[in-house]
Amino acid sequence: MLSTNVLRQFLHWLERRHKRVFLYILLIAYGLITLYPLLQGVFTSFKSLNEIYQGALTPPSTMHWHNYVEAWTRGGFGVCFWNTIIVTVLSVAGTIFFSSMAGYVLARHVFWGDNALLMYFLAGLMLPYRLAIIPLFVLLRDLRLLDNLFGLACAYIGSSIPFSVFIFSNYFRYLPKEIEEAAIIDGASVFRIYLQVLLPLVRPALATVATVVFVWVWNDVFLPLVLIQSPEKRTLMLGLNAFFGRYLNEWNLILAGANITLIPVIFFYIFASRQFIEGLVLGARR
Amino acid sequence: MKTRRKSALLLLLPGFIFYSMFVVYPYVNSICYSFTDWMGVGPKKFIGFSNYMKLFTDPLLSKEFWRAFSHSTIIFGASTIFAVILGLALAFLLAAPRLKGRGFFRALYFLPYILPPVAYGFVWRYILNPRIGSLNEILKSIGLAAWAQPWLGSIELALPTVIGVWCMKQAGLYILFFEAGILSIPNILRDAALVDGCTRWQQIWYVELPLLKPTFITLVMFNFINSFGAFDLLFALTGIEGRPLGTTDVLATFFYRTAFGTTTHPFGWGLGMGAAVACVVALFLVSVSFVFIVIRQRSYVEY
Repeated sequence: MLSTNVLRQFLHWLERRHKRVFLYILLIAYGLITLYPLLQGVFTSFKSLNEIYQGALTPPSTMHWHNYVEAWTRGGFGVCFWNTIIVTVLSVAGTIFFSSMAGYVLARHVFWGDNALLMYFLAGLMLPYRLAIIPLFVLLRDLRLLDNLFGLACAYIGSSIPFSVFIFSNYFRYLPKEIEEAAIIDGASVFRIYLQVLLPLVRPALATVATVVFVWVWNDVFLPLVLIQSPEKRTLMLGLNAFFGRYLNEWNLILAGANITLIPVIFFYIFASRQFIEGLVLGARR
Repeated sequence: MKTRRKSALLLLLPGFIFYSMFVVYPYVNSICYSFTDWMGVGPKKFIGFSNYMKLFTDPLLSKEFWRAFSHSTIIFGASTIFAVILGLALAFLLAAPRLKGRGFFRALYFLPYILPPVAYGFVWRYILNPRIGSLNEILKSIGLAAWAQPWLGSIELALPTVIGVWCMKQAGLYILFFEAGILSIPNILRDAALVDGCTRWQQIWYVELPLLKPTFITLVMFNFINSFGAFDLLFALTGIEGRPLGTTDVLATFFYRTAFGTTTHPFGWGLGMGAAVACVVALFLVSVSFVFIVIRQRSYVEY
């Protein structure tokens, strides 16, 4: 009696809210599709190689944490991690510093040819940076920066400047004029106005640029593939690619290795997903 | 005032130098290299338009170029269709009024877009593996054993499979692009349509879709540059040669092989020929982008 009552109430509720329920079902279903490859990758990375060959859907008998240890040591991921962190930090810091200064000047100073200069910077948004790789390779070779993490970072900084100048100049443009005028009267230099007065006011732009450059540098494999040669200077993606080539059928190790490179990105994303989304939807033009 | 201007220009300088040196100079230099037969070392010899002639007339090279070009075009076309159908549908669901957990769904859908393509591609390579992969096993377990395929290994299916994975990775971007467009349409227009007696579908068809035109054109433009520059995910899925038999070869992988070669063909066609490929692709991308920009400027709507 009670159960039919509950059932009737449930049906009534469903009738009233069926559109909502259907909406959530669709949204959750697509969410599961999105997550599926990651979950499958994590799931399988804890199995032994034998278990993987016995079936894709059977759960691991015990959690083979060992896969991660083995992937880490055999793939030399320690060195790769360190290299990628160096390149990423250099690129993010360099891009932010150079392009916020340039964006500030372009947005708030009037001089001959200022608009043309802005166009010059934005022209870089039109093409995939990869097409410039051949002369870049030769240039870095002549500068003795080939097979060098600093040279790689220089390329990333250059390639990130069009987008970040675009973001910074837009943010600086809409700050009220009075702030700057007050600072000028107080006798602040141009550099101090930029660094101490205006830069703290464009924190969202800093976050946007930092996340976009981080994702671009961390994820890219094309530039390191051409510009890095020695194994001890490999970036994470290059290391993962080499690891894949060496342990072609040992999927337990490969998936563990892939997950190792995914973890930092997902970790940052959980804390700053809003900045990631805003930045990358804006920076989609890359 | 003069010293202020000078110090302002000083602040501009580092960015200007880096950009000119590592972006503009290489692009311009590509044009110069494309007129030489340079292999990377030794003197450069000026050979006029020979590289361009050869690119379009050499039977092997031109065949590979047009094949890569058509695959890139297919990827662009298919992902655009995917974006319009699935992206738009999910964007409308996500933009539903008073939706609980919108931020959560948004973050979830966007996640694949920010993941490293190489790692994401390797995970998919496992899933699509014909012998041990999970996709075939899932199909078998739900009684669709006949659908099990050697996905990435089959000549007919490799390209559609690659496109599927590519769309899975890009989907979040498409959805959020359209969602932002939908949310920027003022509610007053929807209400006006409602007062006039529109159904929800009529509201979408006559009010919201026409107003989404600029969003759509912007998306197509980004997707165009993205698809024609795609490298990392394809490299991870089917390698630098676009296995099997070049059926998944695209412009970026073709460009890489032409300039730098592969293990079996060490020097490719030389840096001069590689630069010629880069110039042809760049010219194509820039001219089509200009068309998009013009169309977009004409389609702007004022609310």
